[in-house]
Amino acid sequence: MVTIGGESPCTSRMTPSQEKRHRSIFELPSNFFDSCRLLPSPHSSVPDHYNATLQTLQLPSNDVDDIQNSVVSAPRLTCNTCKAQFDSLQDQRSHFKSDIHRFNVKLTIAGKSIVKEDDFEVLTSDFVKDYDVSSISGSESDDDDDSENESLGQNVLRGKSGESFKQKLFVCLQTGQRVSLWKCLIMNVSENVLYEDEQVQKHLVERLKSLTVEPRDNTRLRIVLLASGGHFAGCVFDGDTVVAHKTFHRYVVRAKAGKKQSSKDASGRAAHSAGASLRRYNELALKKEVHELLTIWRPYFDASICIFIHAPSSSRQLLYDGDKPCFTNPQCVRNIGLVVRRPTLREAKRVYSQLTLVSNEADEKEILQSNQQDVVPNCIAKRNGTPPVNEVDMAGLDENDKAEACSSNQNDEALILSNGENENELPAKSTPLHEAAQSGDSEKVMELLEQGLDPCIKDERGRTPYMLAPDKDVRNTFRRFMALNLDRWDWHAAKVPSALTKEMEESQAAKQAEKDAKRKARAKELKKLRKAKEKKAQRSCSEQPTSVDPAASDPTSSNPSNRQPSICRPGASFCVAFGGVCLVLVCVWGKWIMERAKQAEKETTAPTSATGQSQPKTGVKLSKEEEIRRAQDAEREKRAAAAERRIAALKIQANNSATTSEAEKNGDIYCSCCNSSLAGKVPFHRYNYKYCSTSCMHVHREILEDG
Amino acid sequence: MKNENYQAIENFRYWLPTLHFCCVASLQSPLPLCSSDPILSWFVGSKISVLSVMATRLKFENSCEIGAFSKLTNAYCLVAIGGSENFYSAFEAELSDVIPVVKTSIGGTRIVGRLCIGNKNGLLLPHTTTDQELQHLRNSLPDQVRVQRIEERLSALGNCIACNDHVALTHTDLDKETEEVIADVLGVEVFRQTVAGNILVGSYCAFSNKGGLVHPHTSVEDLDELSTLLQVPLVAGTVNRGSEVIAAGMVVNDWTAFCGSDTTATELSVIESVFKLREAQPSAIVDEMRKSLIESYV
Repeated sequence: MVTIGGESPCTSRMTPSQEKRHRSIFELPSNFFDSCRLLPSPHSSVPDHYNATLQTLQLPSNDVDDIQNSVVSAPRLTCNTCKAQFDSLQDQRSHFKSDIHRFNVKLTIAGKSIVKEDDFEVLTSDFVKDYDVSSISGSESDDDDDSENESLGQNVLRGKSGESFKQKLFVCLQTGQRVSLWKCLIMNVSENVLYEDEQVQKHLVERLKSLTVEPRDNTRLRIVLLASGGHFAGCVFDGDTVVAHKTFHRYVVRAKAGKKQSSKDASGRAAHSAGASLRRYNELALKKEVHELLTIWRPYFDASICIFIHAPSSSRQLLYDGDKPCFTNPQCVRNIGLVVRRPTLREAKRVYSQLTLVSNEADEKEILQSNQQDVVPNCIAKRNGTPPVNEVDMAGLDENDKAEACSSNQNDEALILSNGENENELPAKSTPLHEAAQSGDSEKVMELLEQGLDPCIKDERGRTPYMLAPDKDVRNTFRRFMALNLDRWDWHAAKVPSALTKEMEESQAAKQAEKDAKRKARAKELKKLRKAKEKKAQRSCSEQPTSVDPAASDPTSSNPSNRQPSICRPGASFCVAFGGVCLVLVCVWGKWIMERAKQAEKETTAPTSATGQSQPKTGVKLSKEEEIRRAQDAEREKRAAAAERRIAALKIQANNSATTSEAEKNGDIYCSCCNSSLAGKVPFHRYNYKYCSTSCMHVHREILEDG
Repeated sequence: MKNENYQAIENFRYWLPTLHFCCVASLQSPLPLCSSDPILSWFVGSKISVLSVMATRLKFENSCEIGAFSKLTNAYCLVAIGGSENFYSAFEAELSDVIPVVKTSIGGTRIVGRLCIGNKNGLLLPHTTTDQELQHLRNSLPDQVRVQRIEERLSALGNCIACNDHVALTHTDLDKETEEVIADVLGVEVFRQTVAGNILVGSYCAFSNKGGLVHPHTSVEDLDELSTLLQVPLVAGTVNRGSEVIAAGMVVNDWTAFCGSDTTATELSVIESVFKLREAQPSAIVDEMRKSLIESYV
C-alpha cells in the first residue's frame, strides 16, 4: 500500500495527504506511465508478470522560480501598496491587474503587512481557503465553495460507485499501484477500449506517456468551453496554466419561471413584456459575442488538441451554427462527463483540474480481499482513503501488515465495532451501512445494524444511511430496528424519524386491507353500473328504429319532470339528450301520434273483448282493417322518428353548447349519465356534464374514455 | 455646431503624463471667479452660448450631493426623477443640444449616480435594475452605447468603480467576471486600487479624459502613481465646501462639470483648471484652430 509520494518529505507539509494522492497529469514525472497496464475495471486483476517490485516514486521537486526584483528606473512607475517598482508602464499596469496586488490591497486595508511575490505563491497553494484569493463571486452562493473544497477528493469516491466508472480509464502502474483518469482526456468517451487487444493497449499507453512529456510551448492547448443558461465561460489551458479566458453573462433565463425566453416562445404564445424582449435581445447578443470570441480565439483552436465542451440543450447553439461548429479543429471535441455547475471562470478551472486529475485507486491487495470477504475489507478500503486517524493502535505496523492484521481478525466483532466508532470521529466517511442502504438491500441493512454498525455516521455529503435509502422497504428496516433498539443509538442524529413497532405495522396493514376492500367494492359497483348502462344503450339502439314502445304512451310520462330513469323511451331520451326546444315540440307531436295509435288500438281491442264469442267471425274483417290502420300508424311513426332525427342532427350542427344552457333555461337539467332529472338537486359537475351522483360521474367518464 | 466642437475635442485629446497639478495652491485662476456664477450668466443672457458655463452649481431637492442623483458621461447624462423639474432643466439647458439627458430611476431608487457606472462606450447597471428601466435606458441612449445589467454582489457600481473612456479603477472585491464585463462593455483597462486607503474608489475620486480630482488625503506619491496609471493629471481636493466624497459632490465630463451648490469658488476654480474646462470652451478651440488655419493660409 504505497501512496504516491508516501516516502517523500512533502507529506510532512500542511497540505492534506488526500490532495497529494490526486495529482494533475501534467505534474507527473515523465516516467510515470512506464510499463503500465490498462485495466478494464478498478477491480480486475493484472497478469503476474506486471506485478513488478515495489518502487518508490520521487515527486518532482517544487522549485519555485525566484522572481528577480526589477531594476529601479522611472520614479513614478511604482506600486506604493506592494512597495514595488517597475521598468515600464506596461509592467506597472499589469501589476495593478494582478492577484498579488489585489491581495496586498486587501491586506493593507485590513491593517496587515503585505506579502512578497514569492511568499504569495506559497500562500495561494496552501491557504487558498483562508484568504480566498479568487474573486468573491456575487453570482455564486457560498455553498458552492464548500462543495468545491470537498469535490477534489471525493469525486474519486463517487466515481467508484457511480456511472463515472465507465468514463474513466484505470491504469496499473509499474509499482503495482492503480490510478484512474478520465477517458475524455485522451480519447472520446464513446470509444470502447478493447482491453484484450495488445495493439490498442499499447497505443493508449503511448498516448498517456506522451501527455507527461508534452512540451509546454502553447502548441498543445486544451480548451474548456462551458455554456448554459445565459452564462458562457471559455478557458484556454496550456498544461496547468491558463493562457486565455473569457466569460460572458447575459440575462436570458426567465426569472422564477426558468427556461430561456426562446424556449418559452417556441412553446407558443410569445410574451410581449419588456423583460421578454430584453431576453430575446440578450440571447442574440450573447450568441454574437460568443461567436466573435470564438473567431478571435481561432489561433488557440488551431493549436488545440482537446476541446472540452459542456453546452446542454439549446445552449449548444452558442457554440455551433446549426451542425457546424463555430470553431476550427472540431474533431477534437470531447464532452465533459462531470457535473458542471454554472459556467464561470472558476468552474472552468475546476472542471479542467478534475479532468486532468490522476487519482489513486484502491490497491490490488485490498481488491483481492474485497472479493473474498464482504464487510471488513470495505472498512479497510475506506480507512485507506484517509489513512492516519486510527493509526495509533497499529502505529508500529507496516501498511501491508496492517491489512493482514485486519483480515486475520475478520470474524472479530470487536474490530468492526471499533472501526465503527473510529469512523464516528471522522468528519466524512461512507460506511458499509451507507452502501447497503443505498443499494436498497434491506436484509443487509438489518444484518449490519444487528452487527452494531452506527447509523448516525454521516458520509462525505453529510447524509446518514437512512437518508440514502431509496425505498420504503429499507427505510422501514431502519425504523423497525429503531423500535427494537430505541436507546442504542441517537436516532435523532441518524435522521430516522420514528420507530416502527409490530403493532403499528399490523394496524397499518389492517388499514391498508380495509382501504383495499373499499376500493374493490367501489370498483365492482362501478362495473355493475357500467354494465347496466351498456345494456341500456344496446337496448335503446335496437329499439330505436321502430320506436313502438307501449310505455311511451303512458299518460304519466307526459310531464317530463316525473320521468323515471329506468323508463326507456327513445324519442324522449333523444329529446333530452339534445335538449332543444324544437325537439321537445317534435317529441310532443310524436307522442301525440303514438297516443292516437294507442287509442285506436284500444278502440279495436275493446269491441273484441265485448263481443266475446262473435270474435272469430268478425275477427278476420277487423284484423284486416286493423292491419291497414296499423300499417298506416307505423308509417306515420316512422316518418315522425325520421323527422325527429333530422331535426336533432341539424340542431347538433347548429349549436352544440347552446343546448345545455337552453335546457337549463327551461329548468330541465338531466344527469348526463342516467338521464334522471336533476331538478331540485345540487348536480355534480365535470366539464360541461352534470351528474346526479359521483358514481354516475365515474361511469360516464369511463364511457367517454372508452370511446 | 456643438457636436462638431465635441468632435474637435475628441480629435485634439492628448495625454499629459508628465503634467501634474499636485498642489492645490498652484492653481490660480486667471479668470474672474464669478464667470461661472449662474446669476452672472443669467444677466449675460443671450451671450451664454459664447461665454458658456464651465462648471454649474446646482442642488437636487435641497441636497448638494448631486453626484448621487445624476451620472454624466461624454455620450449621455442620466438624471434622477425629482419632485421638480429644476434639477433636470439645469442639465437640459447645458447639455440638451449635445447629448441626451435621460430621466430615469434605477431599481426604483433615485440614486442613479451611485448605482450605475458608464462612459461614452457603455452603461453598466446593477442587478437591482428592473426590466422596464433597462428597456427605457436602452431606448433613450444612443445606439453605440452598450447598456448591460451585471450580476454583481456589490450593487452600488458607482461607488465601486470610477472610470473615464479609457481606464477604470475598481473596488478590490469585484468579481472577476464583473471585471471582464467592465473591460468589455466600457472598453477600458481595469485596475484594482484604492484612493487614499479608501476601497470605495468610485466615491472618492472623479476623473474625465482630461483630468481628475481625488480624495484630499491622498499622498503625493499615491497621486503620482495614480496619475501615471490613469494617464491623466490629478489633484487632491474637495467639493461642497470641504466634502471629501468627491464623486457625490460633482459630475464631470470632458467639457462640462456640475457641482453641488455648496461648492466654494476656490473649489470651483480648482475643478475648472484640473478638468481643463476652460480649454474645452468653444472660443478656446476656435482660437487654437484659427492659428493653424491662418498658418495654412499664409
